[in-house]
This record gives sequence, C-alpha cells and structure tokens, in this order.
Amino acid sequence: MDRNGSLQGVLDGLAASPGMVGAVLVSRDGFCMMKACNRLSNPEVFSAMAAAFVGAAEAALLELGEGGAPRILVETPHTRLLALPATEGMLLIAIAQTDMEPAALEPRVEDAAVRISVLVKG
Amino acid sequence: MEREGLGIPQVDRLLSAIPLRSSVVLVNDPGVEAEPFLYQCAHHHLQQGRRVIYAVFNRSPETIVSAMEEYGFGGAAPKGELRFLDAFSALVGGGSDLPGYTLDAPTDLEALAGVLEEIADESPEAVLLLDSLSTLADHASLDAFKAHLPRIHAALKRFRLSVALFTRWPYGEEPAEMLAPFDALLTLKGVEERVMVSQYVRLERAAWAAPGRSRPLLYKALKPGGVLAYVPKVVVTGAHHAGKTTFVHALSDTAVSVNRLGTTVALDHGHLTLDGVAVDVFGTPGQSRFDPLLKTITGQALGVILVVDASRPDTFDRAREMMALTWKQGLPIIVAANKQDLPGALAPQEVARLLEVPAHVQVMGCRAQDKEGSRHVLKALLDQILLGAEAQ
Amino acid sequence: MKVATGIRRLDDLLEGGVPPLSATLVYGPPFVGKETFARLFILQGLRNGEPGILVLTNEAAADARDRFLAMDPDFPKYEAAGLIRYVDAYSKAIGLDVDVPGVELVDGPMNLNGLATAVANTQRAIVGLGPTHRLVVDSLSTLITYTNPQTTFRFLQVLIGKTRRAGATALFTLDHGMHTDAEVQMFKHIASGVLSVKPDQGKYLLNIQGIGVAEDRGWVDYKFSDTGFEITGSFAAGRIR
Repeated sequence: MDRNGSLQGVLDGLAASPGMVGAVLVSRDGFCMMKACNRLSNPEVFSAMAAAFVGAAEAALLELGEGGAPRILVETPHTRLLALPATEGMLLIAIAQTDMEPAALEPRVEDAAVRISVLVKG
Repeated sequence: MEREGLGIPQVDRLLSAIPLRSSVVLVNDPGVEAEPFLYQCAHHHLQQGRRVIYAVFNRSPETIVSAMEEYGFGGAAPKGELRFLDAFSALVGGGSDLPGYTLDAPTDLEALAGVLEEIADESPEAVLLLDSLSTLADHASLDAFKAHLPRIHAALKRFRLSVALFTRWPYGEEPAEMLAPFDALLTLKGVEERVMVSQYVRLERAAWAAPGRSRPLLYKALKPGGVLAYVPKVVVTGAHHAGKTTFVHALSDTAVSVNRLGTTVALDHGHLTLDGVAVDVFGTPGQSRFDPLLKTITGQALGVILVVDASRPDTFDRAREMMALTWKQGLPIIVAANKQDLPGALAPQEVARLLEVPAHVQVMGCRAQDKEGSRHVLKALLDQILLGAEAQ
Repeated sequence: MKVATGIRRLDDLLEGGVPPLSATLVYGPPFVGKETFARLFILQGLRNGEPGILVLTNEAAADARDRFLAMDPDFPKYEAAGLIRYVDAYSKAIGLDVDVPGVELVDGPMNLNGLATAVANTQRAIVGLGPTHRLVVDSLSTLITYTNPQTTFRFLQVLIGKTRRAGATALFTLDHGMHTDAEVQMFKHIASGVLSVKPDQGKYLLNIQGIGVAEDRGWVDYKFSDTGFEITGSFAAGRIR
C-alpha cells in the first residue's frame, strides 16, 4: 500500500472505532489533507477553522508563557473535537460523540497521530 | 489670541482651542472615571510652567498626589507649581502638609466663593481644577449650591482656565440646566451591557464652537498612561500576500500573529498608542478558505484599512471581494496601496481607478515595512473615525 | 430561584433564601452579628461557585480575608478561583498597605464616585465568571457619617440599580442608634426588605420584613460568633421545627 493509502487507513480505522464520528488530517495553514468523516458537508471550511482555532489557542497560551504543541479539546452537548499535532505541519482532528470520555478518546487519537507521524517521516 | 487646552489630545480636539478665562465642566455618570481628566489637565499645565490650584472636597490632597502618580503624572519635579485648596481636612479633623489653602468651613459655600476670589486675585494666570461641584451640593444642599453657584462660577472665570467635575447623582434636576453658566459642558457616560463595558466623553456645547454635540469619544484611563481616546477595533484586510501582517506589525507597539506555514490562519492583533489614541488593530487572513472567520474578526469594527499590493493588479478582484466582505457603507475606510517600492507598483490614483472604489474613499500609497508611512495611513483613518468624516 | 443566605433555618423560612436581585437591609446596633451574617451570605455564594464582592468602609480587606479564612477552610480555593473581590474604602484612608488578591482600593468613604467606579470595575472583572453574583456593602452608616443621609441615599439608589442590572443580589448593613428614625425609614424604603437584629436581655433577636415574606413572623432568637450565625428559636407562624 502506498503512503497515502496507509494514512487513509489510519484515519478510517480511527473514525470507525466505537464512539467516534470521524477524523480529519489538516495542514497547519488550514487545508484539508485527508478525511474520514461522512458528517462533514464542507471539509475545506472545517479544516480552515480547525487550523485557526488551534493556531489561536497556541497564540493565547504563549501569552501565558506556555509554548509547545497543546492538545485542544472542544466540547458541545453532542460532540467532542480533539485536535493535536500529528507532524510539524499537520494536525489530526478527531471527532467523537460526547459520551466518549476524554480519557478513552485521547489514547486512541494519540496512537493514530504517532502512526501518521511515522508514515509521513517515512 | 491665546488659547488653552486640557492637555488631553483627543479631548482638546473636541473642544478646539479654549479661549482664556473659560469655564469647563465635566458631568460624569456615577461609576464613570472622571478624576483622571483633572489629573492629566493638572500635569499638562504644570509641565507648561503654570500654577495649578486643585480644589478638593472629598479626599485629602495627599490622595490626589498619590492618584496622579498612579496615572503616571508624578515623577520629575514639574516646571509649574501645584497648590491645593483643601476643603476636606477640616471635615475629618486632619490637615495637609502640601502647599496651598485651607477652607475651614467646607460646607459654607459663601466662604468658598470668597476664598476662590482671593486666590484668583493672587493668581489670575493659574489653572483652577475643582473636584467636585456635586460634592458641594452634597455637603451644603442642592438649593444652597444653586444659590451660590453664580458667585462661585464668577470666581472660576477669573482664572486662566477652570475645569470642574460634577457627578450626575439623582438630584431630581437636570445638571445641564444647573450648570448653564459654564462656557463648555462635556458629558462622561458608560456603555452598559449588564455591566459597564466602556466609557465615552462627548462635548455637549462650547460657547466658542458651533452649536451641536460632538460624536461620542470612547476613552480609557490607564495607570500609567492617563486618559486616552480608545478605538477598540480597526480591521486590516486584503488579499493574500498584500502585506497585511507586515502592516499590522509595522504600525503597532506590540503585535501577535497566528501564522502557520507562511500564511495568517486566524488573525493578527496589534496594539498601539498614537496621538493620544489607544488603538487595537485586527488583521484578517487573506485566503478565501478563512472567509468564515471574517464576520467574527470584523464585527463592531470602527474602521477598515484595505491593504492592496499595488504591484499586483491581478489581486484586485480578491481585494474588491474582501472589501465587500468587511466593509459597509458609512464605515470609515482607507485603501493602502502597498509595496510602492516595488518595480511596476501602481500609483494610488491608478489603484483607485482599477479597484473601482467609491470616489470619496481615500487611497494612500505606502510601504508596509515603514512604520512612519503605515501610521500615516492609520492616522488618516482615525481622523475619519474620531471626527466623523465618514466614507459615504 | 431564591438566593440562599447560608443560615439554614432562615432559608427554610424564606423558602430558599432572599429573592434574586433583591437588596436587603441588615439593620441593628453594633456587635450583634450583622457583619458575620453579611460575610456568611458572601461565603454561601462562594461555596456555590458564585462570585462575591465585599465593599468595606470600616474594615481593611486583609482583616476581612482573615475572617473568611477562619469561617471556611476552603476559602483559599474560592480565592484562587478569583471568586472573592473586595472594594476597600478603608485601608488607603488610614495609610495601610494592601496585599490581598482581588482588591480595588478607594481613597476613602467620602469618595462616592470612586466607590461607584471601583464597584463597576470589579463587576466588569467578574462578569465572565457567571450570570449572578452577591454584593455586600458594610456599612452604609460609615458612608452616612462621612457624607450625609441624602448623599448616601442617592449613591445607594444608583448602586442598587446598577447591581440589579449586573445580576447581583445585595445586602447592605446599617447601624441602629446612629441615625434618626426618618433617615432609617428612607433607607428601609429603598430596600427590598429588612432583616433587623437586636439584643434583648442577654439574648439576640431577629425579625424579617419584606424579603418575599408576606407576614410579620415576629422576633426569633439567634446566636452568633465571629464565624457563625444560627437561628435558635421558632418563628411565630409557619413553625420551624
């Protein structure tokens, strides 16, 4: 399988696991690189906004003297988004149902991010 | 003819030049900061080498000195002389060591008028600051205040300039009527949404100016910094690579950008103080995929700067699109024809023609890396915002 | 939803507490527990995650903080969360340094616009912490002493209007014996209700008027300390057991 196929496989696997709604790989400058989510009507806008909120959160944290690459958790009554860095130039955005606890969500997404990183670095 | 000012740049613009021997009253809503106007006025005139008489009725002179220091008006010995008319200490049985005069019976408005007349005889070129007229009404009674105001006001008029505060407590009478003898009246009010979110000053009338109220001028009183007009949002927008981020950073004292891989993904934010105005600048991303952010970033903007790459007319379609997304009729706008240093850069008039901007919209050439030039563009926009010369 | 005072049997009688956005006058002579009551009211809010503003005219913020610490071992948590704020119109006037978090200083109790501005600034600072908060002014009598009843009344009119709009439920303390009956009536008139307290032959008695209670329940015994306040008697009607 080529690299793109492998990356898609990681996203599909994450999106298909229990409690998950989807997963999107987003470039830091807001492009949709790859997705596994049927609910997204406009993945381009979603990706741009995801890059914006991650970037804005990092900038806000800098004002607190905190650097590094944070994970960003966004919650609504129905949905949880977890955004974390996959590579230096890409973010993995995981979309889960709200009844999935962060403690269950995070390890799965981290694992996927690591696998993406390994695949991209080759 | 000699004229005067309060020493607060944008408020002095509202007042235009004050003739000598004028009396100015600031009527503030309760909870709105008014005292810093007097502190800054005192500081300004002390720096000019004048004598300033500060008449205080509800706290000690030492408190005023300490408050002035908090606002940044202490420090090096001024060229002028600050004296206090202490009408507080007698009420609490204390005394002040600071130079000046004491009113032994602060509730005796007749005695107050007499002391003011004596001080005016002694120091006609002094500036008299009175904090506050409403305290006189509180101490004596509203009726006594109204009865003695003509004589007190006549005494104030004998000074080079007099500035008084009046807090609009619910006296049951309109202050504007009571304070009719004053040559100029400014109101200080709060903008409330559940709590007071900002405050503004407005010139209601001035005997030497054309009739009619001024636009409200938002302000902040900073410690240190004093009274600054405040423009909470100027938006800098334009096509990708027009130079928006560079422009925001060049004109700001401090700026932050959310840039990733060479492009702005969220926004730029800058803050600066220019000619007595504190301004917050918000730069938008230029790429179309971030257009959903524009409404949030540009909401409640007081003015727009559209940055255009004058060397790239092929970007003008997108520039026009961004103008449509971020500007509406009536909002002040300036077009900054950027990159004037690049070969082939179009002159501002040519940019105006090709961009098809409305005739009244000013197009100014600039080079975004140049702080002076960028600020020149911002100043032109601030003039529109603050003086009301809005784009049609 | 009523605003609990934190004094259980009193909240039972009031069917939950004082009405939201109300302004209750706590009236009585000195040293009968008004200050304890007022601070417990703030503390009850803090325990519910509701911010509190304590406006002090005759006590330093540092001393008020010490009292809170003695009242509740969890107080440092509320402080760390930024829930407790002070408007201190006392410390500066007597030349005290202040090193307490969440304090707005005012020159002195005569500077009523300074006081109003400090309250406005504090409310702006806490508005993001929730839709409601509690405000206590302790005490109106000090303001009256430094200015006069009419001036303080005007100040209170403005303050009640602003605090209501800001989502605050307020308490104001007023000392019995320092003002004429007419002056006291003036302040009772502007309040939503009055909680009166008095000593009587070695005991302490409390009475409620207004505050969402339709009938006068008479005077009831209570006891208090620096850190606590408790109803010990029964109200005449609607017997609390």
